[in-house]
Amino acid sequence: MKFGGHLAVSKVDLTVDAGGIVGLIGPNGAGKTTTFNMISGVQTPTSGSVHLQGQDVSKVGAHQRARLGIARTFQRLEVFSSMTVRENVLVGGEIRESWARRTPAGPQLLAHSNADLTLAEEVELLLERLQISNLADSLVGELPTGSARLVELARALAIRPKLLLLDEPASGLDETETEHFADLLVELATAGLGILLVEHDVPLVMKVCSNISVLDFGQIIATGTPKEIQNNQVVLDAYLGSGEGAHG
Amino acid sequence: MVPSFGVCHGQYDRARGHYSVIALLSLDWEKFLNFTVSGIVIAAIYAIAASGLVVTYTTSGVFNFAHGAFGMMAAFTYWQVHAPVDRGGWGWSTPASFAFVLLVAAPLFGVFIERVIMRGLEGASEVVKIVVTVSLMLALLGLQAWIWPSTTTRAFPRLFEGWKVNIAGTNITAQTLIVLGSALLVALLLRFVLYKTRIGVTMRAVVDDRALVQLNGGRPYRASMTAWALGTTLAALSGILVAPTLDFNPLTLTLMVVNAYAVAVFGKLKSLPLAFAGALILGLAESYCAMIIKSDQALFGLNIGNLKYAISPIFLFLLLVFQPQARLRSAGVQRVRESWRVPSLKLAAIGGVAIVVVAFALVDLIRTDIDRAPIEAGLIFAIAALSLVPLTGFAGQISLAQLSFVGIGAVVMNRVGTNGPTLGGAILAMAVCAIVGAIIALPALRLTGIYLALSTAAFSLFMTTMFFEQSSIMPGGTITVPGLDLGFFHSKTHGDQVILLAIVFAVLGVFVVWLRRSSMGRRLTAMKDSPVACATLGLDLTRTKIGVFSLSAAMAGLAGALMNRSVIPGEFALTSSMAVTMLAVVGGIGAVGGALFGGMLLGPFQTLVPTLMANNALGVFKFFEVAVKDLMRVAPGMMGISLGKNPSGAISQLGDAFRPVAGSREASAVAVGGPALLWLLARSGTINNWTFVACLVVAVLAVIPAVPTLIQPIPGGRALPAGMTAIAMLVGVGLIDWSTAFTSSGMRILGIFVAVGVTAAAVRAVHGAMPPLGAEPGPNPDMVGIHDPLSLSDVHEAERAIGVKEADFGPAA
Repeated sequence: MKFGGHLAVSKVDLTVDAGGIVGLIGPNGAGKTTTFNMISGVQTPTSGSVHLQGQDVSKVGAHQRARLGIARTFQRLEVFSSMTVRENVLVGGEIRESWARRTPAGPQLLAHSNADLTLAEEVELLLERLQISNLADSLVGELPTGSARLVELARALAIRPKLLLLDEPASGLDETETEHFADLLVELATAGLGILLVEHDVPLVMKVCSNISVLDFGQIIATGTPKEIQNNQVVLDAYLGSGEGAHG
Repeated sequence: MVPSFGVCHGQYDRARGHYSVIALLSLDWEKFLNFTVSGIVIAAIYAIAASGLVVTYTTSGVFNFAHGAFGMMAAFTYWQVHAPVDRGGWGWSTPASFAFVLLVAAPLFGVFIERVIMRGLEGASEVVKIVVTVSLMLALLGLQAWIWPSTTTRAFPRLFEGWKVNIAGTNITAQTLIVLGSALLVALLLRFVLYKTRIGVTMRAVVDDRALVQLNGGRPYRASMTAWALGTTLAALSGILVAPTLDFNPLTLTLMVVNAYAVAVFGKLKSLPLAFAGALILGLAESYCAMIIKSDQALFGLNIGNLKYAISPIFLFLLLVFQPQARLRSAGVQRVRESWRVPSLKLAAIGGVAIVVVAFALVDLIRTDIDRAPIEAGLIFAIAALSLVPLTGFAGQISLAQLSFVGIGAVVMNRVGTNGPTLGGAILAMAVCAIVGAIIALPALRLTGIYLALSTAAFSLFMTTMFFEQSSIMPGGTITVPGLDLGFFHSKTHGDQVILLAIVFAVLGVFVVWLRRSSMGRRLTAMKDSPVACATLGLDLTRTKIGVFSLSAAMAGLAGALMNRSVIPGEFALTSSMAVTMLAVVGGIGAVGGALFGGMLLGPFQTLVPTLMANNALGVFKFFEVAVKDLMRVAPGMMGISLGKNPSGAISQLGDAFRPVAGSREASAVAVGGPALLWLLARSGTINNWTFVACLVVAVLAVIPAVPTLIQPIPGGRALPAGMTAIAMLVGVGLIDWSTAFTSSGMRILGIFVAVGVTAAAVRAVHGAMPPLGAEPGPNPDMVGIHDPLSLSDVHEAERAIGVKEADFGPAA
C-alpha cells in the first residue's frame, strides 16, 4: 500500500485463527490502521491478498466483506452521532437483517442459549454485556470516548462477525472497564470469534493475546507469543525503546 | 445538408479497412481553422474560470456555485465603468476599466465574501456549504436585475474593436489574442504563486490540514482570503472575456459556470494542468459541434440544433461515469450542527390533518378562484421541497434538479392523462422519474456529495435544452397537464387543486415521518453520520443512495403530474430548481414543516409580492427609497446565505418557539381555538380578510408563543396583566379595518409586522419576567471556560477531540 510515494505498509503477513486473539502492536505511524483498512476493504492494497476462511476476498468491496464476516471498529470514532446508543446498535442489527437473507450471518456469540433472539432482545443483550445499558438513551455524540468505543464494538458485534478488527478499543477506558473489556474479548474468542487487536495498552495485549505481531515502518518485525515478544531484542530496540516503554 | 466535414462523413473503405483519407481532404480548411481558433478561445476562457473554481475549492473547501455569477457581476461592472456616458456608463478607458475591475473591485469582493460568508461555513455540512453558494448565485442574479434593469439594452464592447491580424488565412482579432494571452498568463501566475510564494505554499497546505497549518504558524484565514480574492479575480477575468463572445445576458454568463464545473471535474477538482486540458477538449468539442450541426438538424426525431449547449452536461456525465469510486475514509466524528426533532407518527398525523383543515378553511375564505392559485403554486413547490427531505435531510445528498423531475412528471401526465387515465398518468410519472433519477444519479452517487450537486445541475441544463424545449415534447413551447380524475373527485378549479395538493402533501408528509422512524430512515441517517461505518457493517452505500434518490425523484414527479395547468419549459429551469433546494434548506431540510415553509415562501410570496407591491416603494425615509419588488429579488438568496449561521433552518427555530405551546394543554387549546375563532369572524363577515390576516399573524407570532408562560406563571412575572394586554392588543388590531386603513398592500404588510412587534414588546414589558423567544444559543466554543463555566459535555467533547480521558491526569477540577 502506497500513499503518494510513501510506502505505508509493505510486508505484512497476518493470520488470525477462529477463536484466537492476535495483537498487532507498533509505534504510531507503523501502518496498523492502514492494515485494518486493507483487511476491511476500506482501502485497496497495491498488491497482496486477504483470505477469509480460505476464500479470497481481496477483490470484493467493504460492504461485501462485512457480509462475509469481517467487522471492525475505528481509531477515529465513526459512531452515528445524531442517534442514541441503542439506535446505533440497532442500526447495525438492521443492516445485518437487510443482507442476512442472502449471505447468512453467524450466530450471536454472546448469547448463552441457542434460542433465536429477536433483534430488540439482541440489542439489549449487547448493551448489557458491554455495560452500556445505562447509556442506552443518550446521544452518542455526547458520550465520552471510552463509552463511544464500546458503542462501536456493540454495533460491530450486532452484525455477528467471524473476524473482528479492533482499533485501539481500550483507549479511554479506566482500569476496571479495561479489565471487564479483557474478559469480554476472551469470552468472544472462546465462543469462536477471531480477533485482531491494535492497542497501545501493552499489558492488555500481553494479557489477552495468544499471538502478537509487531509492526514497524510498514513491516512485521517480529511474531510470537506474548512471552517471546517481551524478550525479543529487535522489538525492544524498535518499539519499546530502552525497555521501560510499556505505558498505560 | 451537412457541411463537408470529413470525419463526420468519411467513407468506410471496405477494401482497405479504414476510413478513406480522401473524405478528409474534402474538408473546408478555412472553416475548420476558424472553428478551431474559436474553440481554443472558448477553451481558454473555461480554463481561466475553472482555475478560479479549483483554487477556492481546494483552499477553502467550499465549491463556489456562484463563481459564474461573480463573473457576470464583473462583466456588468466592467460595462458600467467602460460604456460611453451617453449609454449610461462612465466612459473610462479600456485599460482603466480592466485594472479597476480585476485589481480593485473583484479582489475586494472576494475578500468581502470570504470574510462575511465563507468563514462562517467552516465545519458546516456539505449540503449547507452548497446551498449557501447557490443562494449567493441567486442573490447576485437578483442584485444584477436590480442595478441594471433589463429594460435598457446594453452592448458589451469587444476589446480593441477592429484590430486584427491574419495568420495562416485566419483572421485573429485582438479579443482572441487577449484571451489566449490571459490564459497563458493565468497558468504561469498560478504556478508561480502556488509553488514559489509563501502564501501559495500555505494555501496548498491548508488543503491538507487546516489545524496543522495553524499550529505551524501558518495563517489559514489569510490563505483562504487570498484564495477567494484570487478566485474572484479569475471569475471576473473569465466574465469580461466571455461577455463579448457570448450573449451579454446575466443568465447566460452565470450558467457558463457549468462548463467550468465540467472542466474542473476533469482535473478532479484539484489539478490545474488537467483542468486546462479538459477545457481544451470541451472548448473544441463545442466549437466543432457548432460547425457540424445546423440549427434545425434532427436526430431520432430530436432537434439537436442546441446540442452545443448540452455538450458540457454530457461531458460531465461521462467524466463521472469513468471516475473511480470514491475512497471511503474515516474522517472521525464531525460535530453535527444541524438537528431536527423527529415527531411521533401521531403528531405527524395530527399535523397532516391540520394542513388539510387549513386548506379547506382557506379555500372557503378566498371567494375568487384565481386568488387561490398562489396557494396552489406554493403547494406544488412544497411537495417538490418535501421530496428533498429524505434525500437531503436524511441521507445528506443534494439535488439541484428537482424541478426537472417535476417537469418530467408534467410531460408524462400530459401524454398519458390527456385522453387516458389520469391516475395511471400520475403513477407512471412517478415510475419514470424514479428510473430516470436512478440512471442520472448512479455515476455521481459512487462519488462524494459535491459531484451529485454538479451532475444534477448539469442534468437540469441538459433537460431544458434537449427535452423541455423540444417541439416534439412541448409543441409550441407549452403543454397542458390534465387534472386528476378519480371518478368521485375530478380536480378542475384552483380550489380543488388546493384541497388535492394539501391532501397529497399531508399524506406524503406522514409517509416521510414514517420513513424516518423506520429502519430505512435510521439507515439513511446512519449513512449521513458515517458512510464508512455503514459500509463496514455491510450496507451497500451506492444502492442505498440510489434508492433514496429514486424515491425523491418520484415524489417530485408526482408534484408535476398534479399541476393541472399549462406549463412552459422555463418553469423547470436550473435556477428555479436551485431556488427550491435553497428554500427547502432555508425552511429546514430535515423536517416536513420546513418543506411546507420553503414551498410557501417560493409560491405565494414569489407570485404575490411583486404584483401586490409593484409600485410600492418603502418610502420610509426619502433618501432610502427601495422598491419592495427589488428587495424581494435579493431577499430569498439572502435567507439562504444566512444558513451558515443557522443550518437547521427556519422551521426548527419556529419549532423551538412553539414547543412549550404543544406541551401545555391550555396553550394548545388557545393555539387551535384562537385562529378558529378568527376564521369564524372572517367567515361571517364580521371582519374582512385583510383584518383576518393581520389578527392571525399577530396572534400566531406574538401572542400564542407567550401563552404557556401566561398560564404557568413564572415568579416575578405579572401574568394576568400581560394576558389582558395581549387580548387588548389583539382586539385593537381587529378593530382596524385593514383593507381601507392602508393605501397599499406594501404599507399593509409593513403595518402587520409593526403590529406583531408592538404586541410582542408590550406583552413582554407588562409581564416583566418572560424568557426570550426561541432556543438559547449554545455557548460559543471559543469562550467556553473563559466566559462560561465548563460543562460536562464540553469536557467530553474535548476528551474525544484529543482522544484521552481527563481522569487519566488526576483528580478532576
